[in-house]
Amino acid sequence: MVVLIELFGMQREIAKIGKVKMPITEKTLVRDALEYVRNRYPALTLDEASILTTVNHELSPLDRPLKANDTICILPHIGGG
Amino acid sequence: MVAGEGALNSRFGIINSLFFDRRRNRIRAKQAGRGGTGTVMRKKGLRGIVVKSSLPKANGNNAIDKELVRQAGAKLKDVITRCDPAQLNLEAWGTTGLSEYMNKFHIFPINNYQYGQSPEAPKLFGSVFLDKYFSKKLPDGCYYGCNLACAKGVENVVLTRGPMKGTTVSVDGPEYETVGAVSNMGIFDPQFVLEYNWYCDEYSLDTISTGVTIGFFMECLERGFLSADDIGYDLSFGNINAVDRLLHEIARGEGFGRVAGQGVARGKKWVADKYASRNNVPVDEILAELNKFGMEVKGLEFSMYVTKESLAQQGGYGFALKGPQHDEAWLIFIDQVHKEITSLEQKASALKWFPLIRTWFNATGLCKLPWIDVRNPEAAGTPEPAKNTPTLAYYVDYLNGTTGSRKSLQDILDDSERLQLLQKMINLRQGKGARASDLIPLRAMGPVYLNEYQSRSEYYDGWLKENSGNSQLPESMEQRLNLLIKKREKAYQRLCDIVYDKKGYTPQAIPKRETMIKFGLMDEQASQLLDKFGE
Repeated sequence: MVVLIELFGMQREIAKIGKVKMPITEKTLVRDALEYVRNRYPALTLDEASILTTVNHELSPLDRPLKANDTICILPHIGGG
Repeated sequence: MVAGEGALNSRFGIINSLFFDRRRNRIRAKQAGRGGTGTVMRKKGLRGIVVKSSLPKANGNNAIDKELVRQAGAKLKDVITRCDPAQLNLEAWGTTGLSEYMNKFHIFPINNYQYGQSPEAPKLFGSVFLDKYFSKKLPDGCYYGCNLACAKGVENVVLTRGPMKGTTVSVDGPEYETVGAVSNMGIFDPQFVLEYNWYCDEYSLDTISTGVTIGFFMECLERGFLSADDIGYDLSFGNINAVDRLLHEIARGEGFGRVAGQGVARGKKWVADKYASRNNVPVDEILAELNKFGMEVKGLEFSMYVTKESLAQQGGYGFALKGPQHDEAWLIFIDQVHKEITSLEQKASALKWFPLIRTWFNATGLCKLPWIDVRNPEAAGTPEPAKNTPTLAYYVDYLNGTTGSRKSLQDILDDSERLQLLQKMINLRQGKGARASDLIPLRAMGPVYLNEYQSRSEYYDGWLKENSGNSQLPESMEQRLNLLIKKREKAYQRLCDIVYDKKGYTPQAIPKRETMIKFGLMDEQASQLLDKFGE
C-alpha cells in the first residue's frame, strides 16, 4: 500500500521534488507522512504550527489514519493579501 | 505621487507613489491600484503631488508611548522572522508564490475566470520568477523597516514590445494579482508579465482591471458577441500581440482602447448595443447574457481569484463596499480548502468579522500581510486560528502606544463598523448600496457554460449528488449545469439574507435605523436617505 505526498512552492523547491510516494501500513498516520518527508528531505522545515495537511483535498488532523492511494498535501497558511 | 496618461484615458487609472530606493539606487513605485483613483486625479487636472517632509523616518508619528510601540514592533518582527521562512516565505518569493497554490485548487483565473487551473500555469509559478528574474538578497519593503519585505523587483529587463521596445527597464513587481491578470487573458509568458507590469505602471493603469476588461472582450469574441472587425484585430485568448496592442491603445485613448478603457460595466453595454442592432434582438436580452460573465460588481472589476467553489468568497466580493476587491474579505482557503466555515452561519459570521478588521487596517494605512499571511504559532491555541488574534494584539498595542488610546480589539472592530456604515450610506447615496448592487455575475458562482462544467464534470456531478441528497441526477450535462446554477444562485441569495441580518441591515441591504443610532450616525441627512429606501 502506498500514499502520495504532494509538496508545493518553497517546499517543492527545497526538496527538488513535488510528489513523494510513501509505503504505509494500516497504522500509518498523517503525522508519520510528515516524519517520512522530514527524514528524506532534512532541509525542509515542516513545523506543525506552520503548516496544514489535507488528505484527498480535505483538511486533516495529524492523527488521521491513512488508506491506500490517499493524497496528502502539505500547505502553508494562506490568508490573502 | 503621479498619474500618467493611461489614468487620463481610462477609468481604471492608478496613482504611483514614487520613492528613491538607495539599495537599488533607483526610483521605485508603489501603486494605489484599484477603483480609478488616478483617473479622478487626472480628470481634476492634477498630474502629481510632491511631498517634502522634515519628519524623521523613525517615530515620525511622535508616539505617545514609544516603549509600547517598540515592544509591539519587536514582537511582530520576531513572529515574521521565525515563521515566514517556513510558511509562504514572502520575503523571498513575494506574492507570486500564490499562483501555484491557487492553480492547485482551481482558483487561478484562466480565460476570463472560465477555468481555475491550466497545464500551462507552471510557467507563471513563483519559482520561475524567483529563479530567473527577482533580484535576490535585497530587502524589498514598501517602506523602510518592513520586516516582511514582500514587494519584489526585477532589474535589467529589456522590453521586447511597445513604444519603448529595446529599452532596458526595472520592474517593480510582479505581484500575484498581475500574474493572474495575465493568465486571465490566456497568456503564460513570464517575460510578458514583466512587460505588462512595467507598461501598466508607466501608463498608470490598474493591472487587474486592465486584464479583466481585456479578458471580458476576449470572451465576447470567443462566444460570437463581437467580431474581429468590431475590435480591429483578432483579440483571442492567448494572443500576446493583440493584448500588447490593446494595452497601448487603452493608455492613449486610441482605437478599440477607447472602448476597453471604459471597463467591463460600460463594455457590456457597448457590446450589447452593437450585437442587438446587428442581429435585431432586444438589448436587455444580450445584456443579461453578458452579465453572466462580465466580471464586475458595482462597476469595479474582480481581483484575481476564481470563487466558483467558495460561497464565502462570493460574498466577500459581492458585499465589498468598493466592489470585488479582496481586501475586505479573503476567505477562499478557510472556506474551500480548509473547510473551517462550512455552515451558512459560519460563513456569514466570517463575512462580518473579517471586513471589519480589514477595513481597520485600510483606515489606519497599515499593511495586512504581516498579520494575515504569517500565522503566529500561538494562534493554534485560540478558538479561531484563522483570525490570528495573537498577532492582532501587537497591532492593538501599536495603536494604543502611538495615539495614547486604551482600546481593545473589540473597540477597534466597533470603530470599523461605524466607518463601514458610513461607507455603506455613501454607496446608497450613489445608487450602489441596495441588495441588487451586491449581486455577483453567475461566473463567480459556478460554471456558466458547458465547456466550464465539462472541464470538471466529475467534480460537479459529485457536488450535485452531495447537494441533492444523492438523488438521481438529470441525464444530460446541460440539465445538470442548469440544476447546479439554480442551486448556486439560491445559496448566494440565502447568504445575503443571513449576512444582512448580522450586519443590522434590512433584507434589502439597507442599514436599519436602530443600527445607525447604535453607532451614532443618525442625523437628518441619514434619516432622509433611509426614508428614500423605505427604512
